[in-house]
Amino acid sequence: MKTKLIGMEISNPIIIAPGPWTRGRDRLERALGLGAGALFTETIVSESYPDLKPRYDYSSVNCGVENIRLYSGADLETWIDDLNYINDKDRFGSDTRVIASIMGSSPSEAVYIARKIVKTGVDGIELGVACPMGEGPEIVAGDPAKVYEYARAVVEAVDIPVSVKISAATGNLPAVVKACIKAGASGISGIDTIRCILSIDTETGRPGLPTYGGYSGAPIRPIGLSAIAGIAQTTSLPIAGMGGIQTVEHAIEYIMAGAGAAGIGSEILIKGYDVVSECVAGIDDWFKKHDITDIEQIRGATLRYLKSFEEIKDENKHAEVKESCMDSECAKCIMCCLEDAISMDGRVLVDKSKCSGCGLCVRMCPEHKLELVW
Amino acid sequence: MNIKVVAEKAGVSITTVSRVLNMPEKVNEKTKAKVIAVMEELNYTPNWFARNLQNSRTNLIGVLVPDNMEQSSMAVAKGIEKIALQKGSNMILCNTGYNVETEKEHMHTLIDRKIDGIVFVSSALTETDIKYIKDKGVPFVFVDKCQASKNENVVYTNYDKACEEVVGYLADMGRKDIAFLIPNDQDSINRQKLKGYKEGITSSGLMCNEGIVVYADDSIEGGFTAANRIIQSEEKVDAIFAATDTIAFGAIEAMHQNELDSDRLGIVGFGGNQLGAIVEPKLTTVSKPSHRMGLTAGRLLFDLIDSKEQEEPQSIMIQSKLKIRKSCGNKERVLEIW
Repeated sequence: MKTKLIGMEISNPIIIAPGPWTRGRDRLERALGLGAGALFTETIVSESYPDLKPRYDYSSVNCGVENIRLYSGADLETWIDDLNYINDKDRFGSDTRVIASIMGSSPSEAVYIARKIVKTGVDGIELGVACPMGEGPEIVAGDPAKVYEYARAVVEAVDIPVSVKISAATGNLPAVVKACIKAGASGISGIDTIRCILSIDTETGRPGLPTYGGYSGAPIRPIGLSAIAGIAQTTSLPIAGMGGIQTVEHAIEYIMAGAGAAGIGSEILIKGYDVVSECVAGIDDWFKKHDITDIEQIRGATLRYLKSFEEIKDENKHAEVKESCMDSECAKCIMCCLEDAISMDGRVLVDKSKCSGCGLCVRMCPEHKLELVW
Repeated sequence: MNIKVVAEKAGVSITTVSRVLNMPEKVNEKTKAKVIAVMEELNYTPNWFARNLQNSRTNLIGVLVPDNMEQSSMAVAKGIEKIALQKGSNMILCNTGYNVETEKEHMHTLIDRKIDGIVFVSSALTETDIKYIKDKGVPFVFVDKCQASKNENVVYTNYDKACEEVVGYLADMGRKDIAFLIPNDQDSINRQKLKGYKEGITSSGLMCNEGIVVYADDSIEGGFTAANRIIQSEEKVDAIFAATDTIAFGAIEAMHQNELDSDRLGIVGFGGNQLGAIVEPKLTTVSKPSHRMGLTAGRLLFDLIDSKEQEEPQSIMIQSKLKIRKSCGNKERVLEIW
């Protein structure tokens, strides 16, 4: 299934998000062989940073990942050599597009890096303006004027498409997106990781990693989806959505929220590169199964259902048992009811006069035996 | 032994061998490996002297710093050298001692030696001096803005904005009388720092309208003497902002000897000297990205040396960062880490 990514057409909406899995010749070669529509390199900066040991924390409960890597451990010269190398090798016959993700401490530094990288023959530039840890260009991501300054400088300096990477940790997303449009960006990508402390040892009080880190993986997907929907409601520019995508269904969610392409990142760390090729094949199957021939048939499908609060009708609903339940051990619906409207008398009963229609029991029931009715 | 023998033995053209030597990135990996193997087998080493005459390159670059005892100068030079080494070049490091005549002398000598390019760090040269190197067609890059760097390739950091930010930060902490300790050399960096300090005083609405500017030698002794004088004078000062970390170290010593602490006398430095992380109290300072400035200047210089066509001069800013520790009186641990 073809789709649009920052000023170019790509062969598959599954793409590879920036990260250490796209650093170095071997990993780039491997990533090119997975059939993804595009790959984003790890963030390229002008000075390499040592890889801290350890630099990851992982939660087996929610599959969240914290990292305290600071951008790339490879220097600019190595990046140029490696990108020249894969391009000289004709990208090993792959039609995966290569987008270089870059970041600078000032617009002029970002421009310098971008110009150097463009000469290697990459297809596009992703400009990072936020990083929640270390020495990222602070505050830029939330300041439309600064985002404009960065994006404009890079757009003017290079003759290939530029995407701006948006952080979800900004209160004024539409204004930031508009600044990118005004600056002439060809696309928007996001989201960046989110500042976190993933875990604390309750015996010692020690955090899993010794400083604040960037949160990625499954738990940030809902945050990513809302950011992508917000971006899609602001602009018709192509959007590369990423953040917590583990499966084809997650990628479809991102597309329905408005993304033209869906990037897999942390899941590669957890499951290995095969997750990408599985999703590449899987999404085509999904399209076939749903009779979708053009991604635009579903892209942004969710947006029309998003309403302002005043538009949401206050319907007089209450919970009802759809299918009789006699599982007295479960009791999830009973425990979660603040109104004490649900009880167990041989079977689950809902007291209509007490139910306020909040809907939580319906979502909590593992067997989907409850429903909201008018 | 010459290149022809290598070419014959490797079964490639002389041009290919030449490319392996001069533009290895343009040669197919397999061919390159084959040619290098033959060279090793034959114990062939290129005749660098002849090669340099032909390429009119000496594979030497010059780096002029004000004082190579200074940590920032060394970090800049180290960054440049890293790039030079990757380009198969060596670096000649010269001290100017902030003296324009010495700087000119170095420049002339280096140009006479057919140097491939020069990086001028914190230069005192004028536009007239620069005309000479331009006429000679020798590529050059400035580190730090200076009188001659207008319309030339320059890598710089924002001394003025950084100093303004420090004053603003101290004012936000409730400091009212902030003295600025700065070397009396009116070089361009000091002027930028002073400008930033004064702008900070104005924009923070502090009472001391012109600020309290005290000259200090750029040494620990100089910082100690100046700070000591301020402390023992009648003048009311609750914070010292030192234009260099070295001066700040002296000021910290004066603070201790006068039995003061950072609550009563906040101290902030400038530079990011690594000793700042271990002195007591730990020094709050502006971390100057010297090494990255050197890397960028080195890259820019070799871009110029390697490029055939003249490109627009670039002006690249590398952002500094206010590194909050304890010496400013900060009690909020979160500001050190967030």
